[in-house]
Amino acid sequence: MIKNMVPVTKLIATFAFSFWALVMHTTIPLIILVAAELLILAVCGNLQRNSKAVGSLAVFAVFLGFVQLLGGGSVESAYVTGLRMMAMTVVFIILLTTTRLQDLTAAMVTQIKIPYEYAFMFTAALRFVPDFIAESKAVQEAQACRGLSVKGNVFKRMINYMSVIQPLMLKSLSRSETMALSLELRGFGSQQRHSFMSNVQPNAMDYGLIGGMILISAVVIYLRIHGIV
Amino acid sequence: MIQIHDISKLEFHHRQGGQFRWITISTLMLAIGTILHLVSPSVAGITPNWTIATYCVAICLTKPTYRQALGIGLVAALVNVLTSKSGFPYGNLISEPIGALSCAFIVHHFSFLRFRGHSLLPVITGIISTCLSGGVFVTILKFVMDLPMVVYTAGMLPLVGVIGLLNGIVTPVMYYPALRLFVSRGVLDSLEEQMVISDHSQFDLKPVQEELISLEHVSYIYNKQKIPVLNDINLNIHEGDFLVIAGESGSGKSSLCMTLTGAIPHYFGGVMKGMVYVDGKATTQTTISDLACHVGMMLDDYDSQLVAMTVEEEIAFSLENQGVNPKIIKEAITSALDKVGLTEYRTRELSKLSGGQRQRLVIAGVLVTNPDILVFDEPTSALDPEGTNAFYKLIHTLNTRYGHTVVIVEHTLEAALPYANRMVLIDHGRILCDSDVETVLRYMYDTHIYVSAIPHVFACQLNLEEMGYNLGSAWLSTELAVQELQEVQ
Repeated sequence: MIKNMVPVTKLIATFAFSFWALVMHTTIPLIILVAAELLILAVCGNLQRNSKAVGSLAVFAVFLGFVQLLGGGSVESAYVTGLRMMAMTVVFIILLTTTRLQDLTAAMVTQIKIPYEYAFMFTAALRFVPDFIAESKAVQEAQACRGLSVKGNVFKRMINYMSVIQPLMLKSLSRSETMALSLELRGFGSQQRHSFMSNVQPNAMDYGLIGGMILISAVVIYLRIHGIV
Repeated sequence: MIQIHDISKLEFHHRQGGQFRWITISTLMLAIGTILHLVSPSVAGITPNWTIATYCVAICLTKPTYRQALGIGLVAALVNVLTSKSGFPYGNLISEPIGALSCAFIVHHFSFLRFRGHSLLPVITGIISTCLSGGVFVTILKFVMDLPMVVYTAGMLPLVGVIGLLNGIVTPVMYYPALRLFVSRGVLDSLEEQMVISDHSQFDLKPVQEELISLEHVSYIYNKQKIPVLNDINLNIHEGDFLVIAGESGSGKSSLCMTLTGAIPHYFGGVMKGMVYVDGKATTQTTISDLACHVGMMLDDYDSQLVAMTVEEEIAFSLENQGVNPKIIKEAITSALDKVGLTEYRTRELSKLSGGQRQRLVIAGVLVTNPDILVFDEPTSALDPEGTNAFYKLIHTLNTRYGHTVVIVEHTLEAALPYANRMVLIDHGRILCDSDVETVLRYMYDTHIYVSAIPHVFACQLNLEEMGYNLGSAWLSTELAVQELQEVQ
């Protein structure tokens, strides 16, 4: 069902979960919220694939809880801090792993009204990441052949690392002109109205879910006012 | 409308173009920032904030408007979130736009700050934007997570300051080489160039001869250059032509191609004399994107033309830019993939394609708008012999079966010439010979111009002819030579 939801519904759900996490200030409801998010991730079949990311977030959550304790906070507040952080970030993993990038882009432009140039930059930057990782390895190997050492103290390593960064950056920047010309050749920005292949219009199920989330938000606020969550 | 009596005297001035440069530079810098974050060494767990450093470099180089800078910041935040670099996405979504806006503010108002002739902008933006962005991030984190004030003031804020100082070092280290690169390539505008952009809308411009493309007395000189790259070029390209343009490096071949697409004069900075007509319309009276419906081009660095994540998104890009209906886009993708033989790769990610497949994808992206003319600038420079042959077979099919007129700039003539019906030899910006392939090759041989490019098999035929052997048809391929020799036996 989640994979059939349109991106804007998932975005609203992301903000709704975060809002609930922000409103809740006791441990049990936050544990339930985090567990629910992990369950959704598992049901979508994405928990195992993202276990490393979830693990890193858990470490960060523990760190924040520890910081809370160090700063004089109570054990309860440490739990709340860590769990809130988990609840507010795991939901992003659900959003990103269940949504195709092109659908997210289409929703951002057509429904959230983010300018198309921004959406383009966002997808294009991600498109170049794998290429640059490969180029980065090639530059590192080439520099290693020329005697670049990755050993030594931290400052020496940082200075040496610059000899990898600079060729990588110059090589990619030299692409920018070709890319800018290519955009013009392909009519980028020439029309006021941009179309998308993806159909991201919400359907009845999406409206139902959005209504449900509004209702839950009202209940959470009510429970918070009465000190229950 | 003003009549033009001598087209060779008509000039069109244009500054170095690139209305999308802020987009391309920022995009590439943010991609670099993403991987630097993943692989850079750290000092006691502290690394520079590469995302901020890279967008500071991009903003210092391109000087975007505040609206554009806001977009750069927002994209930086989204890239952070999507690459799982963010432990607290909401913080990034607010802090990165603030960092980018502060950087743009400094660039717009403090560009006069210099030390020994060098701009201090990268140092200042590196420190201030990082401190502002980081400060906002940790402040949001502090209040949302209800962290103790002592941690905030004694731990988080000083840490932001340290990272700000690190960024004050790495930002200029990246900025100055990039600036030197751009200056050396004449990419950055100068104020005087911005003052001279011609307008030909009031002229009555008609070609002397109705052709698919006609160049009449075209000369072109790039800004800051003393020698014209094109000199009084007259060339007609007919429907159905398979035209190969040959010449030494720097002879003006690529610039000639750029005139066909409108990139000269609308993108590059320089002065064009004479006129190029595409489908009877003067290129100075239209735009590059309008011309793209008639002329599709694959650039020599074709990999940089690919901007999407998957094959079908890449092909859809041009049509989406034209606001075409999604249903029509899907049909056009199917047709374009079929033409280039990539049907089974429709949903594949670009990073999983080989070099040859990427090249075919670029061609599919060009074909999807169904242009009459296809222009290729040194298309086989990165291909092995097998890939080169496969490429020319594909182009031959597009020429003969689908009726596209083909213009190719090529050094490796062996592979291209068997399919060409016409060839142009260009040298020092002038067309020396424009005829059928055999005539042009004989001209090259006789005048000793660019002899090294003559296919070995044809050079062999010419050598044999010099020795008195009278051979029949031109040996433009090994197969033809073998056939001819078998007939001689």
